[in-house]
Amino acid sequence: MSVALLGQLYDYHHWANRRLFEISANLGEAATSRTMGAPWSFPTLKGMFAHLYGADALWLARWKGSSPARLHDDGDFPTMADLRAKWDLLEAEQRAFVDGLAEADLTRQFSYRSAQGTEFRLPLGPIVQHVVNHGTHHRSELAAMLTLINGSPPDTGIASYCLTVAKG
Amino acid sequence: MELDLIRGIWDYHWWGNRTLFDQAAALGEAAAKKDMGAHWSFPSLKGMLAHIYGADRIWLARWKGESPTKLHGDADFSSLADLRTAWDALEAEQRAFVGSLGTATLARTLDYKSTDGKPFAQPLWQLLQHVVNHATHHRSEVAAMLTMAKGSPPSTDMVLFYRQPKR
Repeated sequence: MSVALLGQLYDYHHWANRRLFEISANLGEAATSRTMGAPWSFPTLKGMFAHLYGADALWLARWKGSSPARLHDDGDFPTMADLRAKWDLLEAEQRAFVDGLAEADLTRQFSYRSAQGTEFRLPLGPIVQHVVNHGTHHRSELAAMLTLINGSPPDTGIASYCLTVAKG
Repeated sequence: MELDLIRGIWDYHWWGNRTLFDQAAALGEAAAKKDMGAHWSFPSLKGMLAHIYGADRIWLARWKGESPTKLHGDADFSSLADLRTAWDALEAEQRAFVGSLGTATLARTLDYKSTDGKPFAQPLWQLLQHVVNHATHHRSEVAAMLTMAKGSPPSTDMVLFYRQPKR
């Protein structure tokens, strides 16, 4: 059941990311590169999405045994369309990794070096959960930024996801 | 393992809530009541924290077989101090509930009614994940509001929680 629990958590993660990405992309490239002010982790919609992509890519690489020194960000993607193309590939790779997990993998410790070179050793299962939680933090910022631009976007809660998409 | 995963995110949840609550409380009651703008789910720090409390409370009641029609919020608390007292009691009750869970209980289908009386049925484990995820959404807003009020608060990223020495 643990593996199914994480599999469904990633279904949710991908659904919520795409839901907000599509609304943002529909606003046009100019709106997604507009600076939205100082209280945000990243000042533009594109920058926030690029960070979500970057963190997901970094953790997936760490789970697979490498320790990239660089976190991808806004500067790596000239447009939302460009980000979408790369994200589709990453999502498929992430999906395959999560689907391939066995029960024993979840308690396995994995080691990685942070971008600053610090060594860490953490259990895989909780960190697979971490990536979704990290995404929710930034999706909240995206939702507030979208509210400023064109009104509140639809809900991206897990309960909504389970009731409307996964049907329990 | 699924029990450990669920207990892990709940330990994280209580830590994240307290980390940000303490930051908000340190600003003082007046700052916590200040209207921070229309683009937030709730306009003040106190209102946002009261909503996290309210959602946590209604879900815990549902898990225990009740279907409350009232969602607690800002107006139920005269101050952050007042909210803290109620929240400490709720957290203790949540800890007892999460501590008592078994693998079979996690898979159990829970029937409940929303505040407007609509019936729903979902496995308990989905809802246990939902409540933590719900709060992360609003903790992000609390963090951005604190950033506006006095600069960025400490991070409540889940990985930082797991990197801490064993609790």
